[in-house]
Amino acid sequence: MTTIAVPASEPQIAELLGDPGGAEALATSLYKAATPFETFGERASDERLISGWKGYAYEAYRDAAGSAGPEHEAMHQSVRRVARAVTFYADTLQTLKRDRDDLRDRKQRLDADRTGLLADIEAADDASASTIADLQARARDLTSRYRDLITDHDSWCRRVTDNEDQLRQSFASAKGLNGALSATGGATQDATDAMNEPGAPGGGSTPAEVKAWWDGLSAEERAAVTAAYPETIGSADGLPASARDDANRILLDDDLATLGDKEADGTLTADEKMQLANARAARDGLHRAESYVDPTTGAKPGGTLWLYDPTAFDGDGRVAVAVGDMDTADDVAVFTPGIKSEMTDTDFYTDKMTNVYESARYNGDGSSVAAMFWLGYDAPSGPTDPATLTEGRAEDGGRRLSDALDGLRASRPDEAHLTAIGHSYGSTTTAYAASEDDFAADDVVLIGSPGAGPAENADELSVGSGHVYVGRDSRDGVAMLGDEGWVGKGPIGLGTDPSSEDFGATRFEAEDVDRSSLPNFGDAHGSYLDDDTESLYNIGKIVDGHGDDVEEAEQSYDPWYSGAVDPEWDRDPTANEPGRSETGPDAT
Amino acid sequence: MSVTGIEYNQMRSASTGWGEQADEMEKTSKELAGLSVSGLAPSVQHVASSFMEAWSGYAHESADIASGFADAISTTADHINDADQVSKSWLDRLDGHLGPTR
Amino acid sequence: MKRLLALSLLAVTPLMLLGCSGESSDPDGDAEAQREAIHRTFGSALTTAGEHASKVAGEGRWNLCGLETQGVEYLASATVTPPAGTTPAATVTAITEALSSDGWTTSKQKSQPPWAQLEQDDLLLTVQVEKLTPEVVTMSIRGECITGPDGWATSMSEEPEPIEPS
Repeated sequence: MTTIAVPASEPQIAELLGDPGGAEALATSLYKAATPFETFGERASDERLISGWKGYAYEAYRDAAGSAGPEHEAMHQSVRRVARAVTFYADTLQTLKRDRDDLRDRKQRLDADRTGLLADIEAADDASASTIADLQARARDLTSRYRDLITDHDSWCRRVTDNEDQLRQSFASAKGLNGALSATGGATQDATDAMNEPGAPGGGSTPAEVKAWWDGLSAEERAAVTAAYPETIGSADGLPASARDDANRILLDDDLATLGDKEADGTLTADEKMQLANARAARDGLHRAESYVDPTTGAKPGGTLWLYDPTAFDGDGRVAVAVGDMDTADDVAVFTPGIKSEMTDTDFYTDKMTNVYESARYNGDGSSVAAMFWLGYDAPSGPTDPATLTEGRAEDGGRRLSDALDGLRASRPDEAHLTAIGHSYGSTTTAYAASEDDFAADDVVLIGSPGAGPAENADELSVGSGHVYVGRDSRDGVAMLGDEGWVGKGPIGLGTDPSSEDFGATRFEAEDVDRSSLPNFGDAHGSYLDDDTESLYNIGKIVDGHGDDVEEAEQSYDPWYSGAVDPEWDRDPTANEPGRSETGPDAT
Repeated sequence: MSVTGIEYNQMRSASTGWGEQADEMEKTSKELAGLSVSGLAPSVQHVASSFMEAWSGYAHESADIASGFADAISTTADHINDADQVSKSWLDRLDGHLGPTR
Repeated sequence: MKRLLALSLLAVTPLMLLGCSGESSDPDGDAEAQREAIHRTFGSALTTAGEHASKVAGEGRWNLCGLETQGVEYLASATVTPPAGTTPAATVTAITEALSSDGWTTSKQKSQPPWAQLEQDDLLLTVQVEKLTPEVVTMSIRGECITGPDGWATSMSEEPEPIEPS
């Protein structure tokens, strides 16, 4: 008699206790509850100085209010930290719920296979040797798959326990009066210990050191620091995008709940109104990224909130939202916008990132892609802002962009192909970043550029002239501002025109069918990332790592005997043409 | 102390502000006490409930502090005002004239 | 080729400084006019295409466009199922010829992949076999980018609406 060892049906998938929606509602209530402690602290500070009241009685009052103010501010932070811990718990619970569903589905499939195997064994009365060998092989395979399921289930159970432990510790640390009044109320011991380790972000650590610090933390410690210090984790260069995303979503939830409540009460200040508008724009952009479906696979590549700081730059805000997986994508694009760009534009620019993503995938080699809108610099506020006419913001922005890409590079264990794309003033910013010796991008794309800032030719950018690509619509009035030829254009541009022959970059086709007959600042300057344009097609090729395959355009030139000449002026633009300007499917 | 004085309306306004703050803290105290922790896993619910209870108490205490500030400012303003009225009645009796009109 | 004198550049620069961006003064009116024009023209083209198809399903929606100045364009597209026994490539040819007879001007055509573009009233119609859906023919028209004040473009609904042959 032959024995076939059929594995037992295990494990019993554990129940997941707790409700993400209920936990999220609790977090929202706690954010709301934190606000009165904040206003108490502010009132104690503001009203310590009651105009016109002087004397001994006043001094006694002032001393009392003076101690109440900081205490209540500490209490505000403690409740907020606990609320954020609840948000993190709720988010994690949601993920665990999804993962449990996956485990349950796997178990059901295994059980179905097991039932089938048992039936086949039952039916195999007088089986041949090969049938028996086949049944044995199936049993071994089933055993191995059950074993994997048990391992994954154990790991899932540990994550469930960790999630509950962390939240329990957060509540406990802020429960007593000492904890409530301390600067770390609501932060777990794991979190404060981890933040004191060498390499922790916020203390001048390099991206590589931050990455090493993160790699050295346990899963519990990572969860603890994310919940307790989301501001620091969310903007820490060197951390995986997923870690930053977790932290930034906590901050976003906090702002939406806290400021939304104040809005309902009619107590929003002017600054908070801007902050709330920025938060909502980030939420909408993130939602757009998460809803986007890759037409080549039918799957959702997901969204990442890589940077979130709605109060930066006098309320303009700093933000970065990505479409695709920034931690694993083979090809990563980072787009820097130009003037007028503010955090409230996040949703709009995230849509542009879906275009870049789609173009790279649709005409790509099958590699995975992520495209990120990065507004980490203080873009000039508009054409009439004097900052638009100077390179100061671009220079500062270039340093910030370079740091961001250093962080991105350090966060990845592999060598992702990285493309930095800049539009308009953002192209000057990108050129400043790329002029640094150790700029982390592999390819640079400048579109609608008023000038390449410090670089007089493409070789001065650290990626080398072979990796500098330029898109210029012949009617783009802004892209005409850069210097070319021996005369130049005086102070109106922001450096050398990168599409010119003298600059020596690869110019790609970027004419728009709606470019109009005269130079303009509308369609011709704004269509570079529009669907089914020549520009987006070529940018997709570059992002996909195939810059050599762009449809090249002849560079503009400036003969001594006349003004600048653009050979693209008379060429008929194309749109939605396969292999030239088709960037995605038309049918949905 | 070399200077003493009050601006009555400012003190009244500050007192009213602290009164409102006290109401807000009392409301928060009640809300914290009534928050449901049922969305959390049972292993967290106990400590969460203790937290809510403790913080409901802190908010109540804060309401007392705010209320105390409101009363103290208001009472002080009234005391100073009363003292000023008393002083006024004395000072009304002063005569600053010289000669026969005195 | 156009020679762009430095003088003309200097002349256009103040326009930019004054904030000239081509923004529509009546974006809602322009948008509705574009939507109506595309519905009318595309609906008519679908009727023609329907004579060479077993099934036609069209839809339209607003699509974001622009960069520093944000806008929307109306995008109409349709999936055309070839009749039994007819290849998608042959259907592209048949539809292109039928539209040409119907007042459209064929501006570009390729056989590999099967693709044609036709023009009428400043609208560009693409008829093609796309690589992700080689079993059907797709048709599309995209309007010009209409720009408006901040927040206007993203407030437009991006939900698709059906476009019936007319």
